[in-house]
Amino acid sequence: MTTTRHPALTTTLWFAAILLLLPVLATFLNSIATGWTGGILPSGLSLDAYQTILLDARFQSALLRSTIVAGLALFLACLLIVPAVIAAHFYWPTLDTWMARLVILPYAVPTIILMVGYLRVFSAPPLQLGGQPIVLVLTYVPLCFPMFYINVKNSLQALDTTELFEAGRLLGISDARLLRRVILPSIFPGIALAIVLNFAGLMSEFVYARMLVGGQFETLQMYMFAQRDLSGRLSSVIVTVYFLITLLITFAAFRLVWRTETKS
Amino acid sequence: MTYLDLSAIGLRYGDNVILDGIDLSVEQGEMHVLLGPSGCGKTTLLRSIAGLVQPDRGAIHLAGRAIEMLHPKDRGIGMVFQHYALFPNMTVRQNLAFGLEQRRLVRKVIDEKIDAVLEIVSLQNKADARPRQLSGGQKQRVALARALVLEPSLLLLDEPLSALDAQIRKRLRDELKRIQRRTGLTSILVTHDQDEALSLGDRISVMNNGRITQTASGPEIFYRPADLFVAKFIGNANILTAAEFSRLIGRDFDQTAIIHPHVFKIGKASEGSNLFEVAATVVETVAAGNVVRYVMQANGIMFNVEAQSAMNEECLAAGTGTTLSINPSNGHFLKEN
Repeated sequence: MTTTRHPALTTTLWFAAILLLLPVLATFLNSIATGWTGGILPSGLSLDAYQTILLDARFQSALLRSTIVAGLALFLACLLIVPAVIAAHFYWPTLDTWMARLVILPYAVPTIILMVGYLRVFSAPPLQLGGQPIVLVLTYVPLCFPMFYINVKNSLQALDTTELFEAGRLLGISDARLLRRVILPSIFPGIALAIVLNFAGLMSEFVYARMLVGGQFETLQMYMFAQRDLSGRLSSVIVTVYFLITLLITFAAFRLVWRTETKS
Repeated sequence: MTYLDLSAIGLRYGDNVILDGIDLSVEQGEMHVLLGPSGCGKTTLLRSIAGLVQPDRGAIHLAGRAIEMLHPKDRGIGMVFQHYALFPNMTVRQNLAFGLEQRRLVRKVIDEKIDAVLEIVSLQNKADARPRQLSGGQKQRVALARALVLEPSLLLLDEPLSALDAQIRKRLRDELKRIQRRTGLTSILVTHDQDEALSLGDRISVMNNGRITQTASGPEIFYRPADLFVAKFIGNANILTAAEFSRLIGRDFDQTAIIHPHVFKIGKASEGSNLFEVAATVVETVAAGNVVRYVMQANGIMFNVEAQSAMNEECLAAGTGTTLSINPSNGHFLKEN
């Protein structure tokens, strides 16, 4: 592939990249600063704040809780949403139209209304689970729906699935086998992207956690909220750690995608 | 001997008749082309043979065996799809092996078959490439190889060249012909491109509105179309009504004349011949490489004339008067309704 050089475009892109990275860099710099007042750069650097946060048992538990809740929610979402989107795409076009409409729901309905609804659902039988961490997992699953739907659907539309199935039928390959060996690996990058985006979203989720499970189950964001009055430095450390974890997950996901693409 | 025999194939979706009692016989080793405009039913007919569409009625016999009720995989048919339908996550070799693996063949046999078929389509060096790393032409050759590797009794090609650009299309067309000749595989190709049909088909069936209008060899279809639809669809012949043709040649005539542009000869007829002579005026001249295309007018009738160009010869300019001669035996005539 050849690339054409556009100096103005390159400069603009670099400028935009630096602009976007600036808050992240500033937060990181703040997290390793000993003091930062009255100057453009910090007066000294130290990893003390990291030691304080990373060794804090409360932080460790909060991080673990957030990761487990997000992980479980994503696991359930993969298990429920991905097959549903695929099945609707192939076999129930009417259902698919409804799914396309439902995508907007988590964004269109004000969070407070959703919260009131959830609180009512989980306060009476048969789902009387109010305040338990499982509620958080269950409510995060529909929150993941739009990103999963859009990514899986786009990946499916990029494939000419009708012709692929027909080619398979003539070659003696069953639909189920073709789905497993061809369709799923081909849409895997889309699923991985949905997982990464949702993971980042769920790790930084605050409102649901605060309203549905309150103080009984401290997640990363709630821990951060609790630390807000202590020191800006510690908050910067938490944000940096959170950012690094998301970055790590992203790299892991893309590595997995890359390996699947070269191996399958 | 008839190898593939279709009789009275019919299919309708609601009130729409898609296939209207199609009868067709294809000989062994023949390259048969289904030609027609979009929506004429040619692809549906192909898919019915493959078993991807179930016709409402009719029978299909392949090598003496009734196949219309069989599952696609049991019909012994290979198919090449318009958009290749290659498995995007697999290499070329894996694409070819996938079908063979279903037949529980030994790995060594699978590899040998794949190597042999890759050699036929000249893609030995692309065995480990993925579809996205291939050009359109190479993808289509892989699709062909995937159909060939299962050693089908019949090969179906659904507009295999239509997604390619003109240059590659022509090259692949010649290659397709070579491969078909080499393998001797009975093939049915669907296309809406008359050049493709004429250069590839041993015989051509022209389809319209779910029916086969004419089945014949390329030259036969080109020079002796069975009706006006075929005449209009194939080639760029001048189609002149009886009245128009009578005016052109100055004699009474009662049939529609199909006269190809190259049938008009520029220059007077030799004496004593029974050729018609027409005094015409050049309206437009287009020199296109080795041919010159003229639009001419005579007795108020406009028609196309084609002549060979020559290196040191000027073509006739617009406005020039000339004499044309026509040999009526080189024209084709249809009774007027």
